[in-house]
Amino acid sequence: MKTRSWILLFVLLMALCAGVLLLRPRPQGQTTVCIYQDGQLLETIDLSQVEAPYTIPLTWKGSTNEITVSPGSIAVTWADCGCQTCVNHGPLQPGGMPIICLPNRLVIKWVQDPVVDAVA
Amino acid sequence: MTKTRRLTVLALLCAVALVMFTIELQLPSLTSVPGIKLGLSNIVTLFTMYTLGPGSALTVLGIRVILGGILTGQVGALAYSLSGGLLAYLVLFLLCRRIPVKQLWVLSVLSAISHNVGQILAAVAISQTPELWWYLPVLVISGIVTGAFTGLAAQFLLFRLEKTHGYLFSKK
Ligand SMILES: [Zn+2]
Repeated sequence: MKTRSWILLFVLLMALCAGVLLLRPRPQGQTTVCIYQDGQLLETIDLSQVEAPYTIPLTWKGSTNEITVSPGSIAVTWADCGCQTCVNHGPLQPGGMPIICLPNRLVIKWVQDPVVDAVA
Repeated sequence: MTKTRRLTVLALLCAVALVMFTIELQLPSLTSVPGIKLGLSNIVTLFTMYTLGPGSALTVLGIRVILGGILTGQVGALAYSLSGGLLAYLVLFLLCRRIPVKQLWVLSVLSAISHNVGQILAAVAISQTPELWWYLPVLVISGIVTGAFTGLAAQFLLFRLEKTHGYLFSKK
């Protein structure tokens, strides 16, 4: 294949990806989050019920993530995972992607209200 | 190339890949998307593929991923980098004969995309979070950009060395 065709192909692929990103469904108004570690559901928190900020230290195989829960928001505020993508993610955005810490196998994501759904 | 010379070059390339990997880890990550990296050590894998052949390239890659993971304390991320690395290698291996050195950057892009796909595959499987597939478009875009960059770097290096040390990749 000619170099020009490759460039065209890659540009089209990038445009397609950008399109998919723009069209991603972003459900709004969810208030309940679930915290999973290594595939296990650890906690379900309704952020609208939180009155004062608190932190949850989570240690898994010697590595720690510190999760800060405040009224209406949740974030990983400290971690010793190396890559720090979980900390850089900042607070979980409405309709946004889950906060994930791959090395520590931690996932924080929105779930459908009501909380009953989380029982599985 | 004599056996000893070959072994020395290979050891040197492994060392270079490890150093690049470690240096890159020290750079602050620019995004919150897991898995976006420049992949500098990929330059070494590509270079090895075209100079010493597929077997040596696999050695460099394997040593970099495993030793790199241990040396930088990223053992927890080993599963992701291994699955990404192996898929990237597979694409390199299957296509390196069909794509000329002149289009090395194309091969590098394809390999970078498959690296990211492999990584996300492992991430979805391990964390059981299908939502992570939404990172795929971001990672495809970043794979194209970083793959083109590392590929061009390797291509440039190969052509320079061919000029000065022509034997390097004419005699495998
Ligand atoms: Zn993390």
